[in-house]
Order: sequence, then structure tokens, then C-alpha cells
Amino acid sequence: MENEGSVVVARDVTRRYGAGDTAVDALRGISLDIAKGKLTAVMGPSGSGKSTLMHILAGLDKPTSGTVAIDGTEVTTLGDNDLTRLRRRHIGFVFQFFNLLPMLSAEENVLLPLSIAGEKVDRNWFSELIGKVGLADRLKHRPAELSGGQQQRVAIGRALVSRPTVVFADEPTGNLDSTTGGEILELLRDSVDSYGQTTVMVTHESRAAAIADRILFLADGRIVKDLGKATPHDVIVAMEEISRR
Amino acid sequence: MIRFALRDLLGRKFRAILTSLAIVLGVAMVSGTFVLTDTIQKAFDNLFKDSYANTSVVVGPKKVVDFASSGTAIVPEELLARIKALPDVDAAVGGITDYARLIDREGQPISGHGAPTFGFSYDRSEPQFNPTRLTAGRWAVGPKEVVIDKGTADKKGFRVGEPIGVAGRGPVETFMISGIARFGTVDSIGGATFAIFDLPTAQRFFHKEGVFDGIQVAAKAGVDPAKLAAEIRPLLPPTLKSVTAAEQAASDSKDTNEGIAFVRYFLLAFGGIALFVGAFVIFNTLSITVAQRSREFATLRTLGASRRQVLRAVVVEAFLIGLAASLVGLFLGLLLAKGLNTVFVAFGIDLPRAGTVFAPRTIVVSLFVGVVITVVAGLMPAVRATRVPPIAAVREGAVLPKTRLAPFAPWIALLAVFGAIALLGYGMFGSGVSTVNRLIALGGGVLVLFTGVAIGTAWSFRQRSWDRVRLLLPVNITFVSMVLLAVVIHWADIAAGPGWHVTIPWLLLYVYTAAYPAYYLLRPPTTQPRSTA
Repeated sequence: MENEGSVVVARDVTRRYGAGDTAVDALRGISLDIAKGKLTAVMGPSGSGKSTLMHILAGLDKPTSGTVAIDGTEVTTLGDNDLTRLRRRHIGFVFQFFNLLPMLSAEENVLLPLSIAGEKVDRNWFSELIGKVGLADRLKHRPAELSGGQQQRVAIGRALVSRPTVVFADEPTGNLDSTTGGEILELLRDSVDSYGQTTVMVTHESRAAAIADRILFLADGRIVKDLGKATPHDVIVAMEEISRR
Repeated sequence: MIRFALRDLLGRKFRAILTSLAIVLGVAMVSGTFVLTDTIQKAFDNLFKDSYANTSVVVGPKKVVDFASSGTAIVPEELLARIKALPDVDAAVGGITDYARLIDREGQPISGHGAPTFGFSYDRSEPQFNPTRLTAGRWAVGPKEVVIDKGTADKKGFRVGEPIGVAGRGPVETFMISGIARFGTVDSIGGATFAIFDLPTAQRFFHKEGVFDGIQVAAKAGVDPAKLAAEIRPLLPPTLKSVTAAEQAASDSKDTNEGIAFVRYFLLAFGGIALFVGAFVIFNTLSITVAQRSREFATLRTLGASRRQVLRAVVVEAFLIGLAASLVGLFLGLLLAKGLNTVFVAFGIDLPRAGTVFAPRTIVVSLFVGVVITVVAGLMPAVRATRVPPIAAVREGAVLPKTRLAPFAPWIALLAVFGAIALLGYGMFGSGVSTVNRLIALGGGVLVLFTGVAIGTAWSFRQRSWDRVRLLLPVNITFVSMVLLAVVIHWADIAAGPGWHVTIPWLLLYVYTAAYPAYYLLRPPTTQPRSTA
């Protein structure tokens, strides 16, 4: 299963919350490889452990057992400073609630990862990126002056600006209407196709999962199905199959 | 990251301004105290320097304490001729310096509320030694004339040619006002008054026939005053001393400087309390801001911000608040110094005035104190901000980890309040306590009390029980205000006796009590972290 094209590798990951009788197993042994340059969707009903999995893959949470490596670096044992460095170089985030900084303009929000890391801005790349996310005429606006879809575009720009090894998108359309959500999904797909941006998306929407190159279905903390490219209909069928078990 | 802090401040200008108000007031008090006391000190220094205008050496009695049995030694008249005969002496004059009260038209002595009422002689043959300048009329000649100070003439409406009563050591005598004079280069000599007679009249009036209170000597050009003082010394009886004018001026100012230093520390103590309140307001506001923005900090962490960068963002914010507040406070202090002086004058404590002194030390100390206190107050919230885990960026209603002391807060508060009451009780009612210890007990008690009440109130807010908060708030404010009122009045009594406690402490108390409720009112409601969207 492991190969040269994998940028995120997880082995036998478990996560238990609490202890004793009240302990809850969110993940019960997950192994996976995220292929480079591909869009991978993690799907599952609520409580399936898909969010926990993403948090652990992204180094936001620690597994109870098992290992996670990003670009060959074992992340589960890293200290705070090393994790900070890992996030700067390798990880981009897109959040359900956008998580933009309200006092900064759209442009400043997009450039924030670079200014935090103290890196120079590649102006060509920046204007290419801004054109791609369609924010050229909104750069000076504050998040409060932007629509939800525009805010998520800013957030995607922010995730892509440092060209991270992998972008983690956590329910990126969960807070948007269906039209706007569709546009955001197109943008994510486009970023994978145009820039070869490895992306992991957690979602519970079949329509969102359908843009992925590969769909992992989670239930009760385990991967129960592993689909390649699929139509929304295929996804719905697979989900029903899982919930019937 | 600095821009991040700056943006946050600019985006919440109103909050920032209100937050920094207490720091502004505290720094203003510190800078105002320095400006006021420096100005008074300069006026006194000028006053003493002017007293010895054109004088190289002063001959006068040694301190009374050295000759306790004989009282103040008197300079015999014949000494003047022998000093004048010295080759290095250019000129010398003997004079009388005593106390004489001017009597107003109602027959009441004109008093400067404790300020000195001088009476001295003027020798027309040696006018260069005279520190006063005529503004009207001419110098007094003969046994029935007097020159009075311009302040008294203006205040009481006396004019040249009018009679005025003067009381020296004997009964009140009536003199004719021949002229009106002002003293040297100071704008005002405060509440002090003076009456100038010609030399024989002064000697008779003060019962000092045949003697002087002192001799002022001018050296020939190029002669070192210290050398001249040494040359004169062999001529003197052991009861007299010969010192340079500069030394004499310095020793004259020493006593007043000690008095001014006392006023300075007294006022600075209030500035310190205001800064302490300010530190609490800053601490509190930043703590709440950090809690509200925990999601922002977590987001920053997910974007690759280190803990140190998060710390810096909050500390920079505190630094900028502190710097801006201190700058405003510094200049507000200039106004406060003028205002305090007006209050002094209104209550009859008319201190000598010269041009306002805005020393570099005032600027450095005010800015330093204001900025350091604000940054220190911001450190703990800043450290808490660094403890926000990155995963809080994706969690709803993320809360900050509580400090280990949090469960003990009510007990710490209670302990502090009782400790404070004990300290204050000791300071106020303890018998046989030295003034310094009393002041320390009172000052320390106030600080501990404030800390305890603040911890208790913060805890009650955390309980999210509005009934409790509504009950506690007025109780707290009234309680603390009452205690402070008692302490301040008591403190003022200890510090300076009656006359003081009607002025400054009351004024400062109002500033303080205004700052205290502000501490609660400015507190933004504690709510769930707001969505960063």
C-alpha cells in the first residue's frame, strides 16, 4: 500500500477519549495513504470519527496509538516547536467557519501564513492565486464585508499561498448554501488539477465527496469502504449501504 | 504579528481608549507630581539664590542647636568695619532678617497659612545686596516708613502713601507705605509677606540695636568666595560662621527640599494607587479579550504561528496601549500640576512659583512606569493566549484552560480581604506605630484589599450568576470606597496634619473612586468566543 506517491501515511491509528467505563473509541485502527496530487475525501455519518481522523492526520490531535507521517516526518511524537515548523511548511487548512482574522483585509488574510513564517511574497504566484480564487476586486475588504462564499475563497487562498504539502479541508461547504458550496468545490478541484495540490477533505455531503479522486468511508472509527472516482449517486448508494449494516 | 496586534487595537479603538484611561490618570498623577514639586523646588532655589544676589560670603550665627543655651548668636556691628578692611573685600553690608506680620485694615494679621512673614532691613548705601525690586514708590527712610511686598499690596489693596500696621516682637506699630517691591526673579513667593525698613528702624523695631543678624560680603573681582570665607573666619567669635553664599543657599533650601520630597512621595503614592488600578483594568480587559479571541489565536497557531509569536502579539498590544496612555498621561500631568497648584492656592497654600519645570526625569520616569506596568499586567493574559491549543480553531465554544489556582479564588479573595482589614486596622488604630510603618500598613492594606476584591469579583463573574454579580457590584464599590475614604483621611492627617486633608486627598480620592467602578463598567460582557467569520 505504501508507495512513493504518498504524502500522508497513517498506520493503525486509534483514538480513545476518556478512560474506564465511559471511554469512547473514536478511531479503532485506521491505516491509510494519501496520494500526492490527488483530492481524497473522507466521508461518513456524524460520529463516525472522520473529524477526529483529520485532526490527527493534521497534527492537531494526538492518536492514542499508531503513527502518522507527513512527507516522511513522523508527526505524533513532535514537540510544539517542531509541529509549528511542520505546519508552516507542510500544512494548509480550510475550515468550515472560514476562521479569517476579522481585523485583516482579504489580502492580508491570504498572506498571513507567509508573514507568520517571515517569508517573502512571490508576487507572480500571489496574483495567479488571487485570479484563481476570484478575489482580485475584493483584496482590500474586511471579512465582514464579504459574503460567505467570498470568505471561503479567501480561506482557500490562505491555505494555498504557501504551497503546502497537503491541504486539509474540514467540511468546507458546511456553512454555505448549495450554489456557493458548488463553486467552492469547483475551486478545490481546480486547485488540485492546476497546481497538483494534495488535498484531504472531510465532508458528509455526497455531492462534495463526488469531486474527489478517492473516497474513504468511515463508520464507527473504521474505514469501511474505499471508492475511486464516483458520481454523487454512487456515493449516496454507498452511504445507504453503510448505514444499513 | 506586530501588525496583527496593531490592527486589533485600531479595530477596537473605543475599548482601547477606555481601557487605558486608568493608566492615563496614573501616569498623569506621577508626571503632574514631578512637574509640580520640581517647579516649587525651583522657585525655592531661586528664592534662596536671589536672597544672596551679588554676595560671595555670608557671615551669620551658627545653628541654634550648636549653642542651645545662648539661642541664636548675634553679629556685633563693629565686625562689619573689620571685614570691610580686608583686602579681598569689595563691599559688605550688615542686615536684619526677622519676622514681622503686616496687619490688614480690619486689624487682622495677614497670614500666608504658615508661609513666612519676613521683616528685614535695607541699607541704601549698598543697594547691590538687595534681592527685592521696587515696583512703586521709593525705599523706606526714617523711623516711620516701610516697603511692603507686592502680593500683599495687591491682595489687600494697599497703596503707596497709606498707613499699615506691622507687628514685630512688641506691639503693633503703624508705618507709612513708602514703596511696594517684588522679590527677585520668582513670579510669586507664595503666601509669604515682607516688610522692609531702613537699617536703624529695623534694628530698633526688632530690638537689635548695635547688632546684625548677618553680614553679606562681596569679593573683589577674581577672588574665590571660598578663599574669602576662610580669610574672614579668623575675625569671628566661635558663635559665628563664614560660608560662601552658594553653601548658604544650599543649606537654606535643604529644609524646604525635604518638605518638598515629602509632598512628592505623598502625591506619588496616589499616582501609584491609580496605576495599580490601571494595571488591573488592563489585566482584566486583556484576559477577556484573550478569551474572546481564543479561536483567533488557535487559527494563528494552525497557520504556523509559534507560541512566542502569539505571546508577542498580546504583549505588543499591551505595550502600545501603555505607550499611548503614558504619553497622554505625561502631558495631562502638566495640566494636572497647574490644576493642583490652583487647588493649593484656593485653600491658601500659596507656594512660590517659577516657570513650569518639565524635567527629562519626569518624562523618562512617567513613560517608563506607565509602559512597564501595562506590559507586566498584560503578561499573564499573553501567556494564557499561548496556551490555546491549535485544535481550538475547529472546536465550537473553545474555552481557555483554567489556571491551577482558579478553584481557590474565593478563598484567596477572602483571605486577602481579611488580611487587608487587619493591615488597615493596624495602620489606623495601632498605638505606638511609627509614621513610616503606619503609611506602609495603610498603603499595603489598600493594595491587598483591592487585589482581594478584584479576585473575588472576577470569580463571581465566572460563576455566570447575574444575581450574584448584581448584588456584589454595589457592595464592592461601596465597601472599597468607604475604606479608602477612611484611609485617605487618616493618611492625610498623619502625613501633614489638618489643612491637607481637605484638598489633595479628596481630589485624588474622586479620581480613584471614578476609576474603580470604571473597572467594572468597562468590562465587556463575558460571552462565548465570537465566531471569527
